Amino acid sequence: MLIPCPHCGLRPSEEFTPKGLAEAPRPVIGGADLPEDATWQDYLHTRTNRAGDTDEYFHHALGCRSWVVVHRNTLTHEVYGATMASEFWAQKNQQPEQETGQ
Amino acid sequence: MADRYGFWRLLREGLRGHTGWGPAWRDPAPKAEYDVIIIGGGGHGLATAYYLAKVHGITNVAVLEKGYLGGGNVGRNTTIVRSNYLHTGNELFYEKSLQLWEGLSADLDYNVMFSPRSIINCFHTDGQRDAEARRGNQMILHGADAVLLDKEGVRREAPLIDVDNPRFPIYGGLMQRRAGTARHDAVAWGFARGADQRGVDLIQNCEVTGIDIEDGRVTGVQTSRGPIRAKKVGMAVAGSTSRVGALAGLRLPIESHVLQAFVTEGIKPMLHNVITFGAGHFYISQSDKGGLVFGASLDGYNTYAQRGNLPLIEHVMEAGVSFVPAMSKVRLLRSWGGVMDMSPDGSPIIDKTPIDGLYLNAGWCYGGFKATPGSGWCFSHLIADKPTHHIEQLRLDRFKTGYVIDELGAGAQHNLH
Ligand SMILES: Cc1cc2nc3c(=O)[nH]c(=O)nc-3n(C[C@H](O)[C@H](O)[C@H](O)COP(=O)(O)OP(=O)(O)OC[C@H]3O[C@@H](n4cnc5c(N)ncnc54)[C@H](O)[C@@H]3O)c2cc1C
Ligand SMILES: [Zn+2]
Repeated sequence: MLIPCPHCGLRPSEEFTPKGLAEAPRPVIGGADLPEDATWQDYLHTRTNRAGDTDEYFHHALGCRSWVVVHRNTLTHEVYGATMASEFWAQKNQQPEQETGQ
Repeated sequence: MADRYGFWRLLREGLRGHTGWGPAWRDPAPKAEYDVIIIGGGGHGLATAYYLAKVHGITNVAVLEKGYLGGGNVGRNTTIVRSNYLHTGNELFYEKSLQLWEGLSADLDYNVMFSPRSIINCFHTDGQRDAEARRGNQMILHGADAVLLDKEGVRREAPLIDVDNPRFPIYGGLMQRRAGTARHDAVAWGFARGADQRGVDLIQNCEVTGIDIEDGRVTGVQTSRGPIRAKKVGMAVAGSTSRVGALAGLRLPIESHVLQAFVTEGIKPMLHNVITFGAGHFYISQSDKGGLVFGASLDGYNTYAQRGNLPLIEHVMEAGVSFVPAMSKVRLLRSWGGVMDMSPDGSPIIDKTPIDGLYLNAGWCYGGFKATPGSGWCFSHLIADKPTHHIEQLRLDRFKTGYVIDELGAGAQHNLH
C-alpha cells in the first residue's frame, strides 16, 4: 500500500504505524466536567468496523512523524487519500459524512 | 452408533473396494423454526452445536453457514493448541479447552490428529525470563503444566534453533509439554459429523442477512435461503462479528485485521515442537507432511480482505531466518491470510448480549483455534442457561467496568494484541 502523507507525498505503508479506526473524536479533558464513562468506553473500545470505506489513524513514524487519518477501503485495500489528524475532526464536523454500507 | 469409524470399518471397506463410505453428514433444507440457531459454521459454531446436542440434549438446532463448513479461519490457521496464559480469566478457559482436546478424537470418533508435541516460548533477556517464570507459575496454579528451560534445555529440545544468536541470544524458554498442534480441517469435520449424527441441521450456502427482534427479544433470522424462526440465536462468526452484530443493531468492541501464515515445501523432520521467538513475534512448527508452518504478527491496518501485504512477509522471513538459520535453505510454498476479530484487550468474549436470546462468541484474535472445543463447550452451556465458571471473566461489559484481560499489557488498542 502507498499512503499519500499530506507532508511527504506518496510513501510506502511500512513507514507508517497504524493505530486503529478513527470513528469518534477523542473526548475533551479539562474544564469542570469529565467526559462520561460511556463516552470514553466508546472512544477506546467500540467500533462500527465497517467493511468498505473507513478512516484510520496512521503515524508517519519513519517520515515526518505526523499523525494522519487515511481514507481507505478495507475490502479492496484501495487508498483514497489522507488528512492531517489535527484537521480531520474539524473538517468532518463541517460536512458530516454519509454512512456508507454497513 | 452404526456409522462408527475404526479398524473394523476400515478393514471391511478395504475388502469392499471402499464403496460403502457415504457422506459424513446430511445436507438438509432449513426448517421453518428451531430452538437454537448458531450463525457461523466454523470450528466454534460446529462445536457449540455438537455440545448442545451431546451435553444438553438440545437437538432442534441449525448451524447456518454462508459458505461451506470449515471454510473460514478454522481452515486457515497454524493449528497451535496451548494453555499458557498469565491471567485467570484466560487460563481457566484455555486449560478447560486443552483438557477437552486431550480426549477429543475418542469423543468425536474422528481423528483430529491432536499432537501434544509441546510449545517453547524463548526468552532473550533477564526481564523476559522473570515474566515467563511468573507466567509458568500462574499456569501451574491453575492446574496446567509448565517447565522453565535454560539455554541448554532449548538447545537439547530444538537443535536447529540458533540459541547463540549474537544479536538476540536465547537465555531459555517456557515449555508446556501438553501443548501441540491438531489437524484443522479434521476438527471442523469431526464436530460437524458429531453434531449431524445427533440431529443438528448443518445448512451451508445460507448467509444470515438480518436478525429479527421483537420487544427486545430475538425471534429469528433472515437468510439467503429465507426467514427462519428461532427461540435463541448464537453468533460465532469470528472475523465477521461486527457485520453480523450490526444486523442486531450492536456496536461491538471489535476491529477486523488480517493475519498471514506460511508453509514451505515438505522436508525431513527437523523440528518436533512448536517454538516461538521472543525477540520479534515469530512462531514455527513442522506439519506431519513435513512443511514448516509459521507466522508472526498482524499486518496492523484494518481489513476484511483475506490477504495481507508484502512488507509483513519480508518481516516474517527476517525473523524466521534469525531464529532458525537453516530455514533460509527451504523454499516457501504458499502464504495466505485470514480476517481476525481483534478485541481491545486481546481476549475473547463469550456472553449474552443486551438483546434477550441473542448470544455472542467473538474476539478470538489469533488464538481461537485452540479454543474450539472449550468455546463450543462453554457457549453451549451459556445458551442452555447453565453458564460455567470458565467464562466468568470473558464478559462483554468488561470494557465498561474496567476488568479487562490484557495478557500483553498493551493497552486498549486492537491491533497491538
Ligand atoms: C493465519 C491464521 C493463523 C492462526 N493460527 C492460530 C493458531 O496457531 N492457534 C490458534 O489457536 N488460533 C489460530 N488462529 C485463529 C483461529 O483460526 C480463529 O480464531 C478461529 O478459527 C475462529 O473461530 P471459528 O473457527 O469459529 O471461525 P471461522 O472458521 O472463521 O468461522 C466463522 C464462520 O462464520 C461464517 N459467517 C460469517 N458471516 C456469516 C453470515 N452472515 N451468515 C452465515 N455465516 C457467516 C463464515 O463463513 C465462517 O465460516 C489463526 C488464524 C489465522 C487466520
Ligand atoms: Zn509524512
